[in-house]
Amino acid sequence: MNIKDELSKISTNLVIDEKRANYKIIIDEPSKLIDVANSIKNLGFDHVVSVTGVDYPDKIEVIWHVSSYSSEELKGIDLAISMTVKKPEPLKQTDAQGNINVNRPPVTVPSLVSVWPSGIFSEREAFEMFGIIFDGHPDLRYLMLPEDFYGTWPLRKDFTYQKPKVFIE
Amino acid sequence: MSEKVYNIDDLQNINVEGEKYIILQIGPSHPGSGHMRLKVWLDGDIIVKVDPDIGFVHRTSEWLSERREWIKAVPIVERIMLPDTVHANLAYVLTVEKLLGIEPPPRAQYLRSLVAEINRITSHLYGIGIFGIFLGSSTVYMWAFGDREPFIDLMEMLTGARITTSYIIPGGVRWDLPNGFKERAETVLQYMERRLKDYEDIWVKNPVVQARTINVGTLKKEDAIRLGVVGPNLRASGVYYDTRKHHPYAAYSNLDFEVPTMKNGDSYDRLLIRVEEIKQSIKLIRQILKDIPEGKIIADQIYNQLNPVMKKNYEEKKRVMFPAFMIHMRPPAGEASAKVEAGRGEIFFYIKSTGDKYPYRFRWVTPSFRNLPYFTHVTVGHRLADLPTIYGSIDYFPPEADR
Amino acid sequence: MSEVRKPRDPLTGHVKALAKGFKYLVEPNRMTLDYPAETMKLPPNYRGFFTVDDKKCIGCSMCEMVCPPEAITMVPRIIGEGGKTIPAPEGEKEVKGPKRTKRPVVNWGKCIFCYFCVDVCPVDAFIPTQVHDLAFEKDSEYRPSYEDYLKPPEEPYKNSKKVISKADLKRGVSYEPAP
Repeated sequence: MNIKDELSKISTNLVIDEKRANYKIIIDEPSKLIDVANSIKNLGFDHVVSVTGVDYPDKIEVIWHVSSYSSEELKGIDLAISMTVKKPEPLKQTDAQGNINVNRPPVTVPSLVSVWPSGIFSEREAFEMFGIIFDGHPDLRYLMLPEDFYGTWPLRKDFTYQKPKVFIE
Repeated sequence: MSEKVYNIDDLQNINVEGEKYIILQIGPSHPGSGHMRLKVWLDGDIIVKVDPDIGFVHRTSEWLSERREWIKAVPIVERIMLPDTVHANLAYVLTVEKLLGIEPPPRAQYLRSLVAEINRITSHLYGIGIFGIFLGSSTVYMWAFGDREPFIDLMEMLTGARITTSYIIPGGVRWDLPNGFKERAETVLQYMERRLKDYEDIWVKNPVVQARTINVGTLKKEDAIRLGVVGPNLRASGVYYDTRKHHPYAAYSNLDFEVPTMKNGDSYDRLLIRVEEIKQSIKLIRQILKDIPEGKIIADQIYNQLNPVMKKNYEEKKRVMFPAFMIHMRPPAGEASAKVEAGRGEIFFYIKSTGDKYPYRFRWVTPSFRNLPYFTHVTVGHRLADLPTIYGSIDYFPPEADR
Repeated sequence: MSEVRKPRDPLTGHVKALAKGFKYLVEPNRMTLDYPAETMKLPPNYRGFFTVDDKKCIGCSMCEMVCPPEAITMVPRIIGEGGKTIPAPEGEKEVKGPKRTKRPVVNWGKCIFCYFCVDVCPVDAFIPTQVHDLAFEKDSEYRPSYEDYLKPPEEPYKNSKKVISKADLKRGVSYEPAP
């Protein structure tokens, strides 16, 4: 089985970095994601290693790294499935005290938990860190951070740490 | 063993509403090997559902590393994985080397494998010791932690620190083998081989241990693959996968070793596989010390940037100093990923560089995080008294999972 | 593997475990170091407290830049009147570039002993020691003043018996008097 041929049959957007042995499939249509993931799974990639986002000024790239335990030929291959979504414009609100609150809405992508159940915790982590809502995830709750971090999305580049305000009477 | 058998796929559909079930909060103050909380729904004393609540020791390592120079991430990743420091260090440096395009010389590769194998033995002894205290045996806990000491002394002799070694740097390693290391290592290995027989009598083949672990927490091969668990736990379920074999790094492609696998995937197999891997590591250390080639311990690209004072130190003390490149390192734009087999399982690194002095995206996944499905899937249907057995047998380390 | 897994028959298993336990009860496997009556002489590359050779340091700030926990700060030298820069030691050429106007001071409360600073120093001005067992009472003592920092760290338990650790076939680690 030639992995390059098989992968290029699934998607025409295949980026191969020969020097670093990286395989990356870029998905341009969110509706295609689950179909492509299913065909990759049928090829023998059976588990998710990591789900993460990469934050850019106007977009977020969501990356699933998948690998194989069951197929001898695929054990040495890392495949990344990448999908880029546009970030909505942040909304600025001024509250009663005159502070400007920037509301950064989350983005939505389809969840791949139905294809690979091993991504269940990684997708929860990507949700709280980047504000990526995985549509179809059975249990999308906060994993590590406290719930009052909602909306701050700490691993986005425009996150600024705010010390808790101290009230002195 | 259990009265109800739950289908592993129906876990999401278990209805735990109502007053029928007792909710037991285990943790968050150090229930076992670190701070975490297990929220357990019990029907009598049968576990119906477990929700692992992690993040109590989340140290934002990704956030911190994205705001620092590249070299400063080395101590950060080490402190996340304390029993597996060398592997975390190695995995990060491998990723940076892939971005930089530097290939370390053969002697440095062998030294990396050497210190990684010493670290693997200490990590497995740590795991066996923690498993011991989970089952209530303080004997094996004390034994295993005591027997880490000769190996930690070896690490100290080679790297200058006991645990947080910071030994591996882009391009090579920081110190060469000291005099007398080979003889000392051989004595330690012989001592460990003799002790493993003692462990067998008092712990591994002890009928009490066998009664408490056999057929407890079984994860079948198909489920292990589907849930993506890693490391010795995966191999205990019968999957032949080891990053050292399938993604060779350091000197592992030149070394001859076996990957032990088990069949049943229960807690007892997860104990046995750690003992077997210690035996393989002993074999590997002997092989490395026999085969280690002569030569430089740092890549030429780095060596050529050393100033005369540093070069003199390198010749006299076998010590690699840092050229200014280490601070001002700016790997070319691109992305790289690397995998390393740590004591607990596979570490995965994904780093994106934009050619800047900080990493643009620093992503890493630790083995304990990927072993979380053991709590949600494997414990269900067991009695509450079996929960410590399962927790101990998977060698879960909360600070490592939280990163 | 099936043989390993086969449960031992309980009688043999218990007897063997008890016999082994009894053996170690009579003849324990102790690797204790009688600290502080005995203290370790550590290997020469052990990473302990360190100080800076004031004559060698050129004040280039490389150690400050590489320090992962940001424990090092460069302070102005106060040698000579009016804070004048000090000249190169006799018999050595004046180093061009950074002037000898600053020197590093370490906050020991932050230091992680990675020795990146020691290794990055272009003139090898750091003097490493193997002293590692210092404790400070006050917060201010963690941040030694400029004058304190010129002195090498003082070793505790100076009169204790110095031992080195040795791999031992019977015990794992044993200690013998340092040469």
